[in-house]
Amino acid sequence: MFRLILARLGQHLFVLWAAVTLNFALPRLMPGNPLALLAGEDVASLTTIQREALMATVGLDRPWPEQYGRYLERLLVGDFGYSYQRNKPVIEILLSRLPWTLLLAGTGQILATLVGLGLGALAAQQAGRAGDMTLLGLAVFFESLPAFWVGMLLIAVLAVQVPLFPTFGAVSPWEREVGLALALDVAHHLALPLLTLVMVSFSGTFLVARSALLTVLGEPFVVAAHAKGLSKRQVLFRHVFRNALLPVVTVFALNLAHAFGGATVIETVFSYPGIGRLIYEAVLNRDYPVLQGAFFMITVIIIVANIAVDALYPWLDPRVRQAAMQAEGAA
Amino acid sequence: MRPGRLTTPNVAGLVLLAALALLALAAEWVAPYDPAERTGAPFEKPGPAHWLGTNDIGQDILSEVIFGARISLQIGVLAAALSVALGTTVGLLAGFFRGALGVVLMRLVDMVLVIPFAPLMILLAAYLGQSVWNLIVVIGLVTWARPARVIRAQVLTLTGQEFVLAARALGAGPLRIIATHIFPGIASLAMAQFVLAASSAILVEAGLSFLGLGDPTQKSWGTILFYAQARNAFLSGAWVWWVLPPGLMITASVLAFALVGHSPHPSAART
Amino acid sequence: MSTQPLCISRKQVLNLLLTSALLAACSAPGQPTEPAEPAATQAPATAAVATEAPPPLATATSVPPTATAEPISLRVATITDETTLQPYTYVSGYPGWNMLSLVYDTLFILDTNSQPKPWVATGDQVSADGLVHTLTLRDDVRWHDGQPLTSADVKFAYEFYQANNHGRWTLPVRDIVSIEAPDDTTVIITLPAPDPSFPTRLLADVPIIPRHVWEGVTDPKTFENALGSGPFLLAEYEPEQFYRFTANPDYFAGKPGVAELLMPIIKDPTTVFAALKSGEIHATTRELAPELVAEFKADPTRRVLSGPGYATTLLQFNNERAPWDQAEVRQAVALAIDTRMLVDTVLLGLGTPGNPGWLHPAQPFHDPAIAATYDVERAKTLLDELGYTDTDGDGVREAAGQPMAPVLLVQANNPGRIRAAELIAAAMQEIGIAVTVSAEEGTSLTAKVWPDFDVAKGRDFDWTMFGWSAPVQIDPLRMATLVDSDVRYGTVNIGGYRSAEADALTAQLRVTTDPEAQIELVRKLEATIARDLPFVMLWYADLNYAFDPAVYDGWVFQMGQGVFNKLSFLPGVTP
Repeated sequence: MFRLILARLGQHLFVLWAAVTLNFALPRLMPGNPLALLAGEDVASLTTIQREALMATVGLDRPWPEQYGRYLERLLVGDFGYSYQRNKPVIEILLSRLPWTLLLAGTGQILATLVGLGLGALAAQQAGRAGDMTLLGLAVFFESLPAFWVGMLLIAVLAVQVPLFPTFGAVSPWEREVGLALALDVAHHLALPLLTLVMVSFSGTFLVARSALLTVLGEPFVVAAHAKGLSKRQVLFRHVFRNALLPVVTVFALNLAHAFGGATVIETVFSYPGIGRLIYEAVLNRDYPVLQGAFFMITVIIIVANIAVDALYPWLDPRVRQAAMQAEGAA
Repeated sequence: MRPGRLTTPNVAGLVLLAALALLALAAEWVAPYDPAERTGAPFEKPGPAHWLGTNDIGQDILSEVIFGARISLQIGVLAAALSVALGTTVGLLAGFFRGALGVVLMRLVDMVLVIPFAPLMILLAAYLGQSVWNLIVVIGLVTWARPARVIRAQVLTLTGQEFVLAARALGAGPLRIIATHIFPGIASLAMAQFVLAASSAILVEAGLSFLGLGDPTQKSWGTILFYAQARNAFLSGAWVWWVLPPGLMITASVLAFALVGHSPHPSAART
Repeated sequence: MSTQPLCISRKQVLNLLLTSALLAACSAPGQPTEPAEPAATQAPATAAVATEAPPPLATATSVPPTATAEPISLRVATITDETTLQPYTYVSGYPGWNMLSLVYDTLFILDTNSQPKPWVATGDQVSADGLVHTLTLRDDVRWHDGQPLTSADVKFAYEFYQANNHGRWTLPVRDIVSIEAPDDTTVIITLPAPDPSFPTRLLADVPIIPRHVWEGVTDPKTFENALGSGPFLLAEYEPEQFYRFTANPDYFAGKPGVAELLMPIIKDPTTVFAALKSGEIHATTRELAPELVAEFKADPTRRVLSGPGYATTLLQFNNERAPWDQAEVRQAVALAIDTRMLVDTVLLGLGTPGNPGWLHPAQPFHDPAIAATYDVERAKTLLDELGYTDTDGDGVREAAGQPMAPVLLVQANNPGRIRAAELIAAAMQEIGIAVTVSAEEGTSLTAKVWPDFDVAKGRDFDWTMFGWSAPVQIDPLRMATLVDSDVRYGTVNIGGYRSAEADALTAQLRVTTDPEAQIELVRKLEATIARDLPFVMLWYADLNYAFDPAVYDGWVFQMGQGVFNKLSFLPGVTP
């Protein structure tokens, strides 16, 4: 088992290295360079020599292998460098954005999963009947809504026409609120983006949970459990939910990872200061250090999520545990 | 979903999908105008000449929406087909052959999953140019890893089940097991994945267009929404006729796919 | 209030990179005109010479009494994050420079007509040979920490910019021979050659930094201190979220009209306008999109201030690539473009059609005799005469055996320009030129059109949509940068235009300080550009700003920048 874990760790490190390398290469493969950022204004009035000097100040004049070596070296000691655009350490920028993305994407995913699981269970219970069909239809309908479209409609209706919610931002920072007032203000700002996120993302979990539950409900051990005289509730929680969790957890991990990079659109619509928006802007500006830092962080988060899922699999599904042990024994 | 056993939702989905496909194919005859032609003043409200008004440069929005079916469905179907074909193959192989091949494939899947999506899109768009075909290829190439993982999870479950273990014990070869036991168990899942992939491809196209990363010279539903949002339709009454219709068309196509893929049999897991 | 340099390149950079700020990221100047009349009609027909500016225009509305009981807290959304907002860290020409100018002072200031006027300095005495400028400073200007601002600070600041390279500040101070501070209120600057742009590009543009704070700073880009002498103190900055400025009650020019200025950072245009509509913000540095102008004008609780803008949108040819290297071909293209239709369609009429000679028709230097012609038939005839006919019957003309089928690059995130590109493509079809519109992400496009922002590095495109910021217009002497074939001077000659005639004119312009002679040279240059058409001027978008007058009504429309400037916060002050 220990060897298995080591081997997995090695694999993950390999993925991390590959991703880190890709992070280095991708921005540099894109046409254009961050000169405009480095020069600030009046880039046009610089002489060629000044331009080159400017690129040299951030090491972009060096050959790629050398830049790559230095990049890996720094990464190993946790140095993400300085943002070209913001003149700040990348780590500082990332850490200032991370809480907001965690709040929005994290809360959104958890809520979406709970909603999806609950509705999925509800639907599975009355499989094939009107309630199931209605929920199914609704889930598919919501899933098909473009996130930015929903967000903009919500702003148009609930923030502009009827000004119930703020149109932008994560907080009214200048109000200098503390405690409950601050929490309320954050919640007030979070409401619409969160609603958007949950609306467009709960159905994935719903569909998975419903189908998994239906599958499990038909399995012999469930039938047997019923036959043993266990109550519906007992069967549901002791046998059915536990077995249906596997695909739900898979989807959760996948979605979580996706949410970190993919909340860009929602963050844009609501001017929410998260990581997704940061990456998008960094790409457009060729702010390499920010890109690399953000990619790295997302990559690590995704890998950790994957490790967690892998670790949870055997716990969630004894059959996989057995299979894994067998595989190890064979190897 | 088996032929001859079509349920009401299946039929409804097929009818809806057929209607959309027909709309796309017959756009020239159905649409009142050439959507590229300026047939009115900019920002006209709905009226007898333009049922859904005109866009920011005076093109007929209804015609745009009708022609939009072409590009959006094309992107959805082709990107999804590419994505699911890749994903099913990889997921099947990775789930069944859990030796070196499986490990390598899953590392590949993990890698694809950790590539930040938007920058990759921009990179490819910058290199290839922002065209519809590139969009299809890119969406397909970037999204196959999800179906692969889901399929693999299902394959893992299936291979642990008694009948597969029994077949193995009886000495059945891997290809035979895949063909007779595994593939039927994932076919409907793959179908469901295709539905999801088609819907997400349409949505991805809309999202990318919104960020200015699509092909703004092509009239997909996503592009219509891009201009509507760029010209502040959300702040005036215009969203009712400029924003709702393409959004609802997107919804309708996804719904159509989902209904077609719907199965009444609990054992055929949807997704 | 930007002075010239200000938005200049940054604006195009902004346009390119950012996108949606489309039309007029850096805005243009204009006369404060309440009704949005076409610029040309209200422009002063007289050639107002730079040194004798017309009298300052009155503020748009009555000045709010500053003595009201309730201190005003004004919320003005900004479209960019300007980081720590000191002279080495602010990011954009507009609105970055303008925000910087709330905290820092300059020796001169641009008035409502964008003419340099004394500010911290009370005057500039120039020696007969034009080389020695003797500036007298006010003695009542204090830094935010109470220390007096003296000539030593000015000398320190300019020398600091000489020693520490900055894209904007270094250029105007680089060639200064010497800066002396014989006493606390006198600065003597000696130039190597007379410089007609000295007051605008240096005095009214380069911010003075406090010596006692900046002395010993070796890495200005990471130095975090925004202590200045301006009407506002930077009280708080939350990255990506907001700036909070508080009024400097002891400001030498008077107490600012608002006690607190909150500037939330909102990058998405639709969100800005939604917030403006909902009342969460009271104004914004972003110009109203044309389609929203009527709506905000109709709202009794909002007011709109409008004026012509000098920011340009143009169709740029690659002047080195056949057949676009022929002036006659470019003329034919220009003849087939209906710029009035473009303005009416893309800007809903809220703009001025392009003057082929480059300058905005409201620009005093502009020669009114130069105007664009729209004549499709003549365009066809011109191409026929060149022998560029459709020989294979596919509807597209051939030039030297090659079909006339250029790719027109356009910034993918700039919907207005994409629309214009499509309209141009349709117009070209009429005369047998098959244009393919190709939308590209901003930085990628720049990499083709203007690699490394260095025209010496060549170019790889046929046609592209482009635009320059207002400062290039405000200072007509900058026209040289657009057309000079010497890369040292023609720094934004991105099409590689080459003309001995134009080069001769720009060479003269560089050494001419006499205003009358300057006008004459500029007009000759205009005529040359209008004839050779290295680019086709499409339009100058008007500037419209909406605000909530109940909260604050002191906005001043300034030529070149619109309403977000220092003077807007200094009620009743006329430099």
